[in-house]
Amino acid sequence: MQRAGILLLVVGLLAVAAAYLVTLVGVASDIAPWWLASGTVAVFASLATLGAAHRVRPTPILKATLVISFACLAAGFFIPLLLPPPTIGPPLLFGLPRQTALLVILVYVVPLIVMPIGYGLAFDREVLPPDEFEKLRESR
Amino acid sequence: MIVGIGIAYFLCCAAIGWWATKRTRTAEDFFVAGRSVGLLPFAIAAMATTLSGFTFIGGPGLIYTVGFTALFISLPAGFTNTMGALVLGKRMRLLGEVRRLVTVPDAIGARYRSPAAQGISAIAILVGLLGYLATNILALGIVVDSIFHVGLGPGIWIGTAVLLAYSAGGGILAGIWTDVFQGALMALTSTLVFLAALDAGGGLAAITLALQSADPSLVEPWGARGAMVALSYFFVFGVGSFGQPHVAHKYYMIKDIRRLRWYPLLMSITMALALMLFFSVGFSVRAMVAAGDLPALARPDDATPTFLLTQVPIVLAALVFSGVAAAIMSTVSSFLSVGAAAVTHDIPRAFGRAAEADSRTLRRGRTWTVVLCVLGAALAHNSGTLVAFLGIFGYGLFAATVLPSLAVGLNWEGATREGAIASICTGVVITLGLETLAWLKLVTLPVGVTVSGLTLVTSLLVFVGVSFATRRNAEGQLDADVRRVMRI
Repeated sequence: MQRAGILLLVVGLLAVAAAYLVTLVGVASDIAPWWLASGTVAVFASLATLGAAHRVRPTPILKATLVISFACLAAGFFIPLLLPPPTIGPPLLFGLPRQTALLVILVYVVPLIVMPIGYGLAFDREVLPPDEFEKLRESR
Repeated sequence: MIVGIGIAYFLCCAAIGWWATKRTRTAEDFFVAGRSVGLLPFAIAAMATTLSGFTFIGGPGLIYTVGFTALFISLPAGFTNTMGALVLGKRMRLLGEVRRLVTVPDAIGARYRSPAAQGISAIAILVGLLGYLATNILALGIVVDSIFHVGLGPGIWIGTAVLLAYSAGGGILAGIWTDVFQGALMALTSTLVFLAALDAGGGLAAITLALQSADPSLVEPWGARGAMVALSYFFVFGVGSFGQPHVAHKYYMIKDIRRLRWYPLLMSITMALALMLFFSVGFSVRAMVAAGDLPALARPDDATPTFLLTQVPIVLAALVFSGVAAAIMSTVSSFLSVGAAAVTHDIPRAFGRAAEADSRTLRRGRTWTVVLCVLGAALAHNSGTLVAFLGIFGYGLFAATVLPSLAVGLNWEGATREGAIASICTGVVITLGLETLAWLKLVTLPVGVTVSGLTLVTSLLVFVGVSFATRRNAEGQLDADVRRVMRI
């Protein structure tokens, strides 16, 4: 998993670098946001993968938490990139233009709730099992 | 009323400092609060340290100008609170316990068995820190001047004196407990202002419609500056947050590592509350200006002061002004602790000096806290536009220094000392070089491309690339206890 995390990190960084490069050069700048969005999702996901990965211990709750959160992040970025700008006036969602509301929900609200709860639920089994922690203390 | 509440706030900070000074007996108390902080104070203090005065003044001003684009500075908080614990928290705290580490460069030194990496990272942090200190102390001077009408210069030195009243004596122990007081004040006032902002604008839907009538792009998903700038903010402030030493340093301080379990949830709740003002005031004021209820602002940064002085009860306005001071002071006090530790602990270690007696380290820590604070205040007082320049590169420099070597390095056994040192040097050179060229107007980057973003990407790629090229060294650079911590 460490190797996969590093590979994802490099791919994400190269995508971000490509976005910056095409913007700097001034060519094909309409694809730059796509590269930057993809790269940002990949870099975030890679860091989370590196932090959550374990050689032998299964981590199903953490995996599910991260999959949900990063799927939301990707959807939150790509949906507004795909759709034309919102129309002026109603209908609104939670008082905001629907696309804007959707972005805030997917990129901020869902991960703000899902990630810490998933982390808390996974803590004893997947993040820091008590027996492994005691072994580390005894080995000092 | 504002002056009275301002005085009461500063007296509370000084009282906490006096209390903490009496309890600070060792260097470990001074630098890592004796590793004795409970979950709730830890979460509130981490939130207060993460947010600076920008959240209350600069942020709403930016939202007033560019609408939703500015929100992307804070939207990563949905991820970063939990990811910080996942990527850094557990391993930093375990390393702190196993090796009795007290600083962020300590962890870098231990990870790569390298005093050189420790020393270089400490120097890089110090360089970035001085600029950050100066800009924050300047902001504190502006707030003190706003409250007491004493002028900017005296405001800077009054703010510095209050900061020193608690930081020099009580170190991070005082910092943590003033952070708790300050963080609670920030969350409370921010929530109340959020409700007042919605009320003043006639509700979120009315605010949206008013903004659409003025400039529809303000409430489009990417805001007025477009997708590239918005996404660039998200990348730099999201990924860069894992490289902020004053936040990473806090992980050493939690009393029991098992209490990290619900830290992200508590941090997320307190952070969400404290960001309410940031999310609401800029939109509300811009909508009121569009509707003709307020005159156009002379400067975007006037959004929060204008709103407070015209739309909320004076008691709440006074509390928020104190909250702004709180946000600045909590960040500065943490930086002072990180800086003093770099000078008294990390740099001497890099040059092979043995650890000193505890009482001497404590005395030198206090002395350097005073020196750095006075230096920051003098820079803020005398350097004019140089302060803005110094402040710009701090965030990127920290991110490029700490993120690859620590946040990635603690989670990847293939990372090497060579990769860590190369990435830190790359971060320093590119940040200083490009920011200087940009400041001198010799280089202009296109919209959406920032020096911080370029530095972050380059230093991370250098870190992975050099580590890969020197991968044969990785195994031998990892001590057994550090490997155990990384594998737990």
